[in-house]
Amino acid sequence: MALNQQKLISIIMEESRKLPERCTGYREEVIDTLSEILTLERQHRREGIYIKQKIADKCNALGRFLSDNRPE
Amino acid sequence: MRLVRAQFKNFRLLRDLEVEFSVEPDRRLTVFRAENETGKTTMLMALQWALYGEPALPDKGQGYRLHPIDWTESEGSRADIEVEVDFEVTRHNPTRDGGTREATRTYRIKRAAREEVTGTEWKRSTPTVNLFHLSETGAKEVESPDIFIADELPPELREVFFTDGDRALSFIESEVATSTKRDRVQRAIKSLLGLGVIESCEKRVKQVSKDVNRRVREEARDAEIDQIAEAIDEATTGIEEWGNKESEAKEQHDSFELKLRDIDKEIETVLKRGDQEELAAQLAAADRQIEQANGVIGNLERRHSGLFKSKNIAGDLLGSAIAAAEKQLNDLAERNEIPSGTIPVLEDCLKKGVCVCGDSLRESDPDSMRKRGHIQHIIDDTKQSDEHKKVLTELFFRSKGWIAEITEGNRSWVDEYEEVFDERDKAERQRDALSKHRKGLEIKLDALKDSDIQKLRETRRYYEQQRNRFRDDFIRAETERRRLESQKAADEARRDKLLKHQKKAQRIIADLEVTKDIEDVLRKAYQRIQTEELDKVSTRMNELFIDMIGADPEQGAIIKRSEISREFDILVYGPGDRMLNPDRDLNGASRRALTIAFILALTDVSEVEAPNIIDTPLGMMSGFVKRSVLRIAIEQSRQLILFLTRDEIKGCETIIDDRAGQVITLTNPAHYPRVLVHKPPAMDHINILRCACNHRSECQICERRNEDAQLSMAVAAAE
Repeated sequence: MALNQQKLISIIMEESRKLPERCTGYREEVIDTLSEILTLERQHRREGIYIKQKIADKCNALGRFLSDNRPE
Repeated sequence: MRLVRAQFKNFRLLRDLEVEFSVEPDRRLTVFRAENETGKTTMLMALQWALYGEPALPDKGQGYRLHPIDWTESEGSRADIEVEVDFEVTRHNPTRDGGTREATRTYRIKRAAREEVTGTEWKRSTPTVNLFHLSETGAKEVESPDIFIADELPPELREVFFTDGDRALSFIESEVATSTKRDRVQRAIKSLLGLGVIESCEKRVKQVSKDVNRRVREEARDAEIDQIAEAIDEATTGIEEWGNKESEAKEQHDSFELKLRDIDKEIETVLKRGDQEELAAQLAAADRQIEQANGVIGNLERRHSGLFKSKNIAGDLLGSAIAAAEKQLNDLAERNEIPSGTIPVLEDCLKKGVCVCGDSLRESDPDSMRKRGHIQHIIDDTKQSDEHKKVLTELFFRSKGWIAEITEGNRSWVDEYEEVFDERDKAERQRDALSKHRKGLEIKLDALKDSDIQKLRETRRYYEQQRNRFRDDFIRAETERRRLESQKAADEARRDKLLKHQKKAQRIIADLEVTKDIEDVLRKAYQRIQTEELDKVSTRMNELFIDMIGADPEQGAIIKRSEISREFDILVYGPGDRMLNPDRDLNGASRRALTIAFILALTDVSEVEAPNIIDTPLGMMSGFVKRSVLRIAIEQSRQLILFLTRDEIKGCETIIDDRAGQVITLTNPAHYPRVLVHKPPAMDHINILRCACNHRSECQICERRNEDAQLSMAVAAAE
């Protein structure tokens, strides 16, 4: 990828690590979700794919992960 | 990406031309020596068309002819247009030992279209595009060429990498409103740093968040929560609406600002015509001084607000408390209570799969798994009991650097504050005095009986009223948006607190939290990139610009530094940090140098590997500045392709000798006999010719008459 994506991802990773660890592995899940959202957005820009629902699904999956793994 | 070769067929002036570009690492400069009307701009456009298609053409290709203007019926009613570009792409693939290995591949993109020509009418077919991977075994077609190109050189960066010297000036020229220049600079920076992608993601996640809030209303079944969620929903819509109004008002304000500028110029012209040159000059000078004063005030305002973010303020306000805290941390360290180092060591053991005692901790056998479980248990226990030690350890290390910085400052914050405050007060008083002086000139204008002037002034007053109206609208919209934002934040906190009491709402709370976290990360990443990377671009631009014009005796003494402000203005400062107007106070050479420095700084910071292709970059330059700009542009570019006239080349021959891997001369045979010495070979049509001449030689094709001979020919032709 030509665009300086590594820098973008590294900043997003750093900022994600500042979030509270709401459950074990939460921050890593946030990083994965954000990477997927960024990829979808890029795909949308290039190919015009419909991504509204896909992004909602990604957020929803992260919500489920948190809800299932949060300590009582 | 590096361009290797290009071939043009029937693309406007380029009927049949093939050129090569230098890809040698030490000689990465390619020069096209070409005068006006010799296909420089056409080639720049043709290369962009090959890579990006119709969007790269003026008006996105609508009504824009591609076939040669002298196409005749004898050539047929169909003109086949084709541009083929070969380019190399180097990938840095990771290796097993953690390093990278370079792999270079060559590709060929071919874009073609057919235009049906009937007299002066024409119609273009939908262009086709093919991309091939070229290797020793042959050419293999690559799917989705446009996606491939968009990945290598995103279309939003097209105008940064393919630029002409005149257009580049649009970042600083005075003919456009400040906000327009700002938008151009902002757009270029945003594209290059990938900020647009983050912005779009943030908008989409906001929409998801809005949908989750709607679900709250459906699922919570609680009147109070429902009411708050409704308020949040309304606030979200309101924020969007007021945001749009804000942008519209800003646009209108800027448009009237521009109209005011134009009408002031008209008034000046009419005054000069009516023997009121002195008054015209006074008005122009007053406007210039007011603008300068506003610039100084803006600069001081930034310094003023910057003081509240400086570390010095912490030193002044919390000096004794920080010193006491530092002493306590040092005491703890001396007693070996911090740093707490057990956890990182144990975590490292788990990561490496080897215990401190040497036993295996691999996940493959049950015994090791048992040991891993035990170590994890110790880590968890230590984490719980040592939480405060961990915080203190972190504080101990993190504070080392900044405590010294805060406490050892030479000047107190209060002194700095007083200095800026006084300067700002003085500058504001000066600006008020200038405004009064301008009002006095207005009264003199009122007394003039010239009806043209009075009409223009009436229009000016209307524009001024409109500009002020839209400025007020903008402020109102901004205030309202901010009010709604803080109201929304408070409502969200209330909603979340109430939801926590509902057992069934755990899932929806999780959804709200994750969307908020994602939004936060995206917003902070955006702000960080914007500030950190913008600062880098600004610093780099200044270094390059000062290097380019530094030793120029005329400008070097006037220009001290340049920067890109947080508002995306390109600013230049003179002695005593006095703000200069790039368009008025800088000569043509410095203006071009500044814009080229900006483009090079952008490409440098973005780390995008792509060629810089610039048409007529050295126009209006001479001597030291011209050579510096060329030298620096070569050093800063991964591949530099320049279209230069003979005048631009003059004085730079030795640099081209040393650094150019390819020099090609282009000639328009239609320039015979007025400009060209030798009669070109018989041709039915205008066709740009290339010859093997470099920047120092001339041949039967490209030899030109000197300027005196050209003038004589023109006079003879006129007689």
